[in-house]
Amino acid sequence: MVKNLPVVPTAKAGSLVDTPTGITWRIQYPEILENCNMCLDCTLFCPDGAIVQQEGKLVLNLSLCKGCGICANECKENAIQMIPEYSGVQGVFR
Amino acid sequence: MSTTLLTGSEAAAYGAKLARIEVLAYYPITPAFPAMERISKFIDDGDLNTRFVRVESDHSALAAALGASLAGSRTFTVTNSQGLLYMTEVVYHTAGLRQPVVMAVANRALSAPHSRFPEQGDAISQGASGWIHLFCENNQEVLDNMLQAFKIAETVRLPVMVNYEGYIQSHTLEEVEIPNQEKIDQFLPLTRVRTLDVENPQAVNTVASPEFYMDYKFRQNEAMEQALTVIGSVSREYAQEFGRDWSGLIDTYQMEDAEHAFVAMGSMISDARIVVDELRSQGQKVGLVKVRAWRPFPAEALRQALKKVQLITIGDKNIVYGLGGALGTEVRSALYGQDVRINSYILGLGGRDVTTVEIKKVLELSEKTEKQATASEWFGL
Repeated sequence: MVKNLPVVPTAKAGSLVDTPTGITWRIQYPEILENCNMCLDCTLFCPDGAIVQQEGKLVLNLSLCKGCGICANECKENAIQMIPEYSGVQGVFR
Repeated sequence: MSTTLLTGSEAAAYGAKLARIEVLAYYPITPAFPAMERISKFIDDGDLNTRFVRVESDHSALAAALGASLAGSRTFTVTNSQGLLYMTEVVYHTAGLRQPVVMAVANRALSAPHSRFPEQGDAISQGASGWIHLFCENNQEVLDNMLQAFKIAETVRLPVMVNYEGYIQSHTLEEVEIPNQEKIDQFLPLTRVRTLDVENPQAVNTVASPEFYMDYKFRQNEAMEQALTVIGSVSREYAQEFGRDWSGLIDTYQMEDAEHAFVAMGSMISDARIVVDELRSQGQKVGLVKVRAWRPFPAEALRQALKKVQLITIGDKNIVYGLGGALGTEVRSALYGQDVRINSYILGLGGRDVTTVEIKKVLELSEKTEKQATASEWFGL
């Protein structure tokens, strides 16, 4: 069934902000562990601004994260772990 | 309506003027440039209200034309050979973005080695680009096809190339009848379809992920298939209004009882008509099939036109290396399974003459030759 698309390939202005593309091809995502000392290095290194500090805590915005793992690589405390998006024999998408 | 002597380039320029083009984006190249010169004269004389965008390359020329078309203006550009190759990226953009840009192409051989002489290889190189290709047999058809091109383009929302050969057509004077502007305005009213709109901002040519890309391409090809009908109906409408019938996708000449058909496109057609007359006067049942629209490829029309002949001879002023002449290959494919001898010849590359003498020789050679397996026979080496 052919989709009903606009004649000229276009999208509503701002649609890329509403639905960032990273989520569709990310293969791993970061998880912050308990030994985090709030040095905030990860927030500086993250190229997508996906980690921010909010009310004294680190908050992940997974709609921006493309899963590059730079945060986990740079973390001196080894307090960030990369978790595969696909897990289990069924390969279930998280 | 008036009749005057015009070159093919001037005929294209008059076509653009009658179509009341709003934007011309152009970068100079030989032999296409006289069309631009004539249009800039129209603008300078105050006869044409057109914004002439001067750019630094052919790539930019079509990019500017594409942008102007997205903003809703009726847009035109002219180029050939290396210029067409240089703008190829935007050629595909224009088709994919479904913009009705019309481009005149004064067909010239491609480098290397460098050549400035006529051939159809430049247009053939864009055969998969999604542009509609019209080939003109004389300067009158150049003018008439320009006007039909805008109508076709704006109906199916695909860009159109109007092809005429460098020098043979672009620089040769012929009698051309210029239609009445008021009648053209009725035939071709200005319909602006804007994509770029400050009131309704849109992101143009956004990334299409695998779940969308194929659907867009299906729609684009569907529009090309729609053009198979639209080219014919626009041609009929033009014939009714202006009295000249260029006969849609293909034209046939003396084909009713023909046993041997010559198939070609572009400037060879006018000469081939003379050859057919001459051979007919000697009692030979020869006919002519002119491919006027090369894209979309008129496979069904060709099957109908060629179903009764015993021998088909095809002339290709182009070479697709390792495959053969484009028209030879495609006509063979269209007639697959039909019991007919097909001989096709690559000829006239890089300005080598193809006159009535050569066409007659090709037809004679073909009569003597058994069925060939490939489309790679060369004539006139």
